[in-house]
Amino acid sequence: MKSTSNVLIVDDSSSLAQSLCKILAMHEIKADAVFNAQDALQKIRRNRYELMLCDIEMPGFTGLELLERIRQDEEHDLDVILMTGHLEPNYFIRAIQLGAVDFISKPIEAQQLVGVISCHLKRRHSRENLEQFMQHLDTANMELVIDPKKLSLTSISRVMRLFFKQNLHLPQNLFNELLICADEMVYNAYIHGTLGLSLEQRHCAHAEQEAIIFQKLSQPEIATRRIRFSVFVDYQQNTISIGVSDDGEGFDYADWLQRVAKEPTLSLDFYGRGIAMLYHLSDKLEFSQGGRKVQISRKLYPERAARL
Amino acid sequence: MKIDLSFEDNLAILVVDGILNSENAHIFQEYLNKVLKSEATILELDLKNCNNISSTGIGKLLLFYKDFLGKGGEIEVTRCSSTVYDLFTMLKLNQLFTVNPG
Repeated sequence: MKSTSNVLIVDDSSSLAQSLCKILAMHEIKADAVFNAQDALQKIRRNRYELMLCDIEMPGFTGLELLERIRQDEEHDLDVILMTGHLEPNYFIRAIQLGAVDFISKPIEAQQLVGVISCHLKRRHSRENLEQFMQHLDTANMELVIDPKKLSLTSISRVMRLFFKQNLHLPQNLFNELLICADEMVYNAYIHGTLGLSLEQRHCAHAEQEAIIFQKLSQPEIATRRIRFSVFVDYQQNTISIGVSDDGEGFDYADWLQRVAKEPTLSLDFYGRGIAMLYHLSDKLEFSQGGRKVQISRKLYPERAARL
Repeated sequence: MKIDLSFEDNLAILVVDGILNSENAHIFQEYLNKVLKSEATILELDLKNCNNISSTGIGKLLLFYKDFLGKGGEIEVTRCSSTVYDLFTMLKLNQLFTVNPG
């Protein structure tokens, strides 16, 4: 077990928290103890803990409330194990929803404690090794061909969220901005390039729009269209590119590119907002195939120079 | 994304949590419609925990803005993250209503 492992123990019983620290120290697991949720939040902000072992029932701020606060801040990639004397089903469900990785019953048995914590730290290190491997690839490429009839079942943001989380450790802002770009590009390919919805159809009530989309997708010439989505990560050049193409009519992109280049802060034109956002959120925005393909590129890690 | 709507006299408070994108913009629109149908004349849009907004989400807000303005309403966007604030500024939405950074 690596002695650099970093565990935070949170329990309003200081004697119990300190005892747990000592048990873990005997197994070369470095742990800190705090006795309330507020102190825990402060510690988490200042340190990079890997795992938190937290009592559920604490006066004031409970363990579940603490877990909720930690999950609100996506900066904290912290595994959380909850400990309790008894666990009501509602608490259990809420804890699972909030991403608690395990539960330990009180009174705590030392061997079980060490076993559970060692197991989770080992899993975490294995996950980190995989992430490191991914970051040391020269390039990575993902291509999806999407049937528009299936697109409504899930959003590309969910697919991308999973891909980014598993494969890239991106700064939170970049992560969010890439998700928005991917959403924007696929949505445009779907609404304009595939379905060809009019302005009026795009702005009608949701149920009415669903009916129009259903009707459009029942037409063979529309149903056979596909949306092609690709992500290309070039770790050597430190860039990520997202490309989306459709089988639609395309559009006069050259005119729009000139407009956004002249005036990046576009007016509230119904047709220009999406392009203005992509222009604003990317380092490079390109169209090809008569406007049927759009690609954006971003620097992957702003602080890192190209790895050449 | 999570949305919470509450009313205090003529003030409607809409709190958006997460990313507002094409997948969930229609839910945002449903809440905006509730505000439109209410007696509220001020909408406070709290974006403290809103990580980003797609143009579809912005589009829903603009459609609402036109109708809300028509009945004498005002919008105030509060506690924007720097990304969302930049986006609102870039799209000149800060010229239509008050946009406050977080």
